[in-house]
Amino acid sequence: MPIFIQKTLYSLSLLLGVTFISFMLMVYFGPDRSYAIAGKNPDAAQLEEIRQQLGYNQPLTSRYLGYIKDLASFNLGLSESSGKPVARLLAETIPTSLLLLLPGFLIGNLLALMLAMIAAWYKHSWPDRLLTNLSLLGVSISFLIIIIVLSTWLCTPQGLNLFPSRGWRVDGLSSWLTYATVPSLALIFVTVFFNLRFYRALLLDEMEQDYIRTARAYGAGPFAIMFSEALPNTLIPILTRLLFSLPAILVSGSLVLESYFGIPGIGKVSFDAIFNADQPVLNAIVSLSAVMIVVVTWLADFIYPRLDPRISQHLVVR
Amino acid sequence: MNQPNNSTGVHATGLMKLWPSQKKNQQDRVGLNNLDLIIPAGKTFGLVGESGSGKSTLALALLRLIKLDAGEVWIDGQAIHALDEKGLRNQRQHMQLIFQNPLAALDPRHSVGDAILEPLVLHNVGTAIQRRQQLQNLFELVGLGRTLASRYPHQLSGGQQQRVMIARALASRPSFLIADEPVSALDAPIQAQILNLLRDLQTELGFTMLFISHDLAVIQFIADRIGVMYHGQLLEQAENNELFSNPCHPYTESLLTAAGASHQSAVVNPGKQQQEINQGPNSCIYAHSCPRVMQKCRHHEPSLRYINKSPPHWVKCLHYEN
Amino acid sequence: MSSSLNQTKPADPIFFPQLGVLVFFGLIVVLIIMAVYPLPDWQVISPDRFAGISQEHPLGTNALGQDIAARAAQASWHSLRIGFIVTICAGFLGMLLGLVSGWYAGRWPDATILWLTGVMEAIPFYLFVAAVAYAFRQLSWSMELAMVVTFWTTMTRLVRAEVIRLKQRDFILAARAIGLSPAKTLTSHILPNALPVILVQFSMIFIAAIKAEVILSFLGLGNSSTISWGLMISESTQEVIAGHYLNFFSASILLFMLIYSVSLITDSLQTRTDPRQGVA
Repeated sequence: MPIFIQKTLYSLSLLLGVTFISFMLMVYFGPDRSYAIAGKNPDAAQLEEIRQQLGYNQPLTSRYLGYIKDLASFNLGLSESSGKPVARLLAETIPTSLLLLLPGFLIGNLLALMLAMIAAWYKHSWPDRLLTNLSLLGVSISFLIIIIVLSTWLCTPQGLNLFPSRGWRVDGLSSWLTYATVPSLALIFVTVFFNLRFYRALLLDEMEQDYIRTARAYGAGPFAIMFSEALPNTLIPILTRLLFSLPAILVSGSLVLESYFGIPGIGKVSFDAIFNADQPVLNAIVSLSAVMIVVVTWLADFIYPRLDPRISQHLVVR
Repeated sequence: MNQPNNSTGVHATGLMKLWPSQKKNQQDRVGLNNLDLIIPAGKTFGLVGESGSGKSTLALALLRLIKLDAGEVWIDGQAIHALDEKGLRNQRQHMQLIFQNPLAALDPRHSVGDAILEPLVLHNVGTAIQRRQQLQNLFELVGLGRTLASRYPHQLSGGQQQRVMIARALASRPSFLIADEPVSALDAPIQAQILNLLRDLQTELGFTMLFISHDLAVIQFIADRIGVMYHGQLLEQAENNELFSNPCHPYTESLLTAAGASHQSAVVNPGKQQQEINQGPNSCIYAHSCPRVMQKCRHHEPSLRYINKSPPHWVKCLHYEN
Repeated sequence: MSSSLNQTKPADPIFFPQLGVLVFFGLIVVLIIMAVYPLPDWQVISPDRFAGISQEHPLGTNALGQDIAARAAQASWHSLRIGFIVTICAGFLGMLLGLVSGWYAGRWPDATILWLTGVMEAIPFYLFVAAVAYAFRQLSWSMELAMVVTFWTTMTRLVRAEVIRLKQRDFILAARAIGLSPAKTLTSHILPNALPVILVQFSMIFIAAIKAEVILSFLGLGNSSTISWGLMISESTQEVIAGHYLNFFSASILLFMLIYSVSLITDSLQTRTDPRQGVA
């Protein structure tokens, strides 16, 4: 069987696993919707009829198959708390989250990469030591604490009071800066320190290669070596890391940031759905992010052998 | 070739092993090719051959540490190939192996005393006190100071490490010992010590030994009988003196000439066997580089046969088939 | 040449490797002082709201007039307990699966475990916890359960890789040659050699669990019948806006001290055992 089909089948089997677990947790053991639909004081016959309609009496396998069929045909249903179609809810909120998170994510990674270059160039002398110690310090501070400190400092009368402490009314760059600066700063902080040592280790490994030693021996400067030698050769692990952390940032990062700052993105939607036990919304978000992760894995398996001729297809290690 | 039941020593017949290739469009590599072998009980069989000729494969196959594609192995009348997992594990105390690189073959996290005791504990030999006594005997036997027992492998010299390896292999009193290039990782003076030790131990304990080396001088020193291996086959087997005084197979001849030319160290040089030359399915495997090749060598595969009964001498060459 | 250079290369450039131990002992001392100091009960509500530092309330009181020091002491034990429970359960689960997977690499047990690992890694963690918390809402430890079933995967991948690496070493062949069974080979040769990797990963799980508890408590997914650092920090989010910082500072400083010291200790452990394994 060609590797392409093998990998694709494997990815599908992962999705099957994720949907089965989410089905078991959120539908099978999840909330019983019959009472909510039946209204106040239903009699037993009414309840039974609703249960019949909802398919509660069917065996597990047929309920699961129905669940997958709905997901696969994008039949995501209606949100129970707001009554809106889930698909529309996602379409409205995902752009907001991307707008909120992507700039900070990218800036944080770029900054981490630049600092890692400095650390790698000055290996074991003071700039490297300083950065390594700072990053250990940085990763030891909880994301929530960073958010609280930054927002108290920048958004309250106790501090500088420069930005609104909550909300999202963005229609241009200046309004974006007003609402997104503080959350982005928090995101940049964690992104930098989460990635700095990883990038430093990558670059250091590359710099111990003979060709870079040769280049250094011939007197090539830091910029020439970093940007034209070390960086191109570490691009693949860097891209992999970026791709793999993207789904986590979009789902988990948005959950914390948006619920703290009251921003109506996908994270806020999931937060509300968690508390209202809004099953269709949670189902959609879990499945969506699982699809994202599986697609990212699948991409990593296929794009990288093409980017780097040294990696042949069966050598890709995750 | 033989009737293995009830006989002592090592009898192997028809050993076949193909190593599956790593890449798709590459041919499988031949490890063992219909190999027959007899080692009389209590004797040392010296196996010589170039690297890649399948010597280590043969060692692992005899001890069933790899799976054979075909063939039978009998050790002291015991059908090794027919044992089940549990029977095989139990049988292992009677057949042991010494590795080329003792440092790699000793667990870095076990003290050497523990490493030597491990087979005794595993096979429930004696009580704890008896085993401690046994450990001291083993240390004496291989010429190690007792104080070394609590050391870790990396704290010992190469020679000491190999002595530990030997003590561990002999701990369960095996009747069959395989030494796979046991001295080639050691310095020359240490090599001689270890060779002498192995020879003395065999005289004292009487085990059967398969000694593998690519160094003819080492083989000549230690072996009673010698087998010349080429590309998964034994081309010639004979008593030590007989082989050196009367080499029959063209390949053996070329080995001895090469060794004689370079004089002091008679290391078998890697020949042309790496480059596969297309020949018929029934040809002699050495035909492509044989100086005495005949037309029929490319169409007939010779079989291993006696050319001399005493001292015994077998050759696998069409020149000796009528 | 290059390998000898690597061996002599200095460890990762931590200013004071002893700092981790120092901070850790500092934390223990603080916890002991809080344990012996006569504090009011952590649950008692008093009219004395947002009290400053005093002899009676060494760290002041919160919005309900509860003693912050007493709450911090209680929270510390609770957070540490969550950390240890999750670490031990998820760590051993991951280790066991990694050993099996690595030993049977390429065969069906390995394929099954790898598949399960892939599935668990494809589920967004916080939503998974929410779902578990809902599905097992009658349990008070649904948060710990959710962490255990998600935090084992990295351990499994690392142990699996380590087992595969070790399996090719000669001493494993030597163990087979003396007749050691697969189970004994795993426990007496592979496990001890994989221990450095396993220990580091145990402390990584510990850090992840302590950090996750904070976020989960803030999201309202923790166990609110008791008190933890995460719950203290999330209740302080309302207080800091009004300028009351004592609750926030006491919880976050304790939290920081623990994570920082464990990170430092883990880091020096890691660089000492394998300088090439940078960051997980």
